[in-house]
Amino acid sequence: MNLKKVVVSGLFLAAMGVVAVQMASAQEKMTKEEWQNQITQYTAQRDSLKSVLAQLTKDVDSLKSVLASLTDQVAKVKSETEAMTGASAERHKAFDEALKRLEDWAQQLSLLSDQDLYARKSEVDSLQAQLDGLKQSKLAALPEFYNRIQALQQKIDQLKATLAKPGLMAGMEKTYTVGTWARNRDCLWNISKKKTIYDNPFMWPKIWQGNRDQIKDPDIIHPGQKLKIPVAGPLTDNEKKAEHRYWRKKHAAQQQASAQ
Amino acid sequence: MKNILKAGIAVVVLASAMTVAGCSSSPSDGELAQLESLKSEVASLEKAVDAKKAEKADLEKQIAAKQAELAQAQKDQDATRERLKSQQ
Repeated sequence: MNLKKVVVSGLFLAAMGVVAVQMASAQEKMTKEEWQNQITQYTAQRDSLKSVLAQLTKDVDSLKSVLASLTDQVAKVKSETEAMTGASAERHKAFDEALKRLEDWAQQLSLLSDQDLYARKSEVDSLQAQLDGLKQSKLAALPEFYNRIQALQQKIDQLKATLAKPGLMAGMEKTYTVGTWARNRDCLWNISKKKTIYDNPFMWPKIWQGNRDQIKDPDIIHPGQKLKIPVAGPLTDNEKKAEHRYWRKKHAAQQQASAQ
Repeated sequence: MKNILKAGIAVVVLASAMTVAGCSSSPSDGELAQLESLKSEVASLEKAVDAKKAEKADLEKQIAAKQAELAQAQKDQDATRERLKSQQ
């Protein structure tokens, strides 16, 4: 009885094993139906993707065309704007260089200490004058220059504000009270020559121009006059011009006197 | 002993029947290759679609930037015209 049971059980287990292996094998192997289903599914997916890709390609081509058109329009508007000034490429370049030079100059001045800036204050006026000259050009209306000019003007305004600080001039400008000729030999030349003033007689036009309110003729100053002594530094353009005018006038007067 | 043999035969017959029943027709090698080719075509198309989508998005960005540039250029032109008028 026991033997019978063992044999039957063994055969049954063997049969089940065969069935299990067969089923696993069937699961790994694709059936024809499954193949057909996948073929159908992937074909549909492929067709759909092809259609999407075709639409995307169309969209991309259309967008490329829009972009090219916009690029042309931008170039056209910019070119029209440039043409409004009627300036040649050379003038455009020269204007750019001139503006760059002023920008560099303003930058240098803005790095100076208040004292050094004060000594070169005439340069701020000169810078402003040259910028005003550039502003007259039609090219100044172009956006690329207009914005730079505005920025430069702001910088010059800052320099002017520094120079206009109430304490600045008071702290740096000296004064000199004119003595008598008999005792002090004071004239603008001699005052300028003094070690405590400029230690350089050729700087006399600086005292003259710094005191235009009280000196009409630089040959005539009066004892007791309190003269402002501008900060030392090279003669400014205005001071040089004033000096030239003075010498021309003097020369003419001498010629007239010798002719009489 | 006879009974044992009978039972054994019954089990073997049953297993064989189940095995035969589990079998069905499977695709040929050519058909499987056709499926593989289709799969790889789909994968390749998916990549191409993704690339096109990225290209489209990039172009849309460029167009938006260019439209802003055009608007600015037109604004600049109007401002230049006004400034030139005020210079005269």
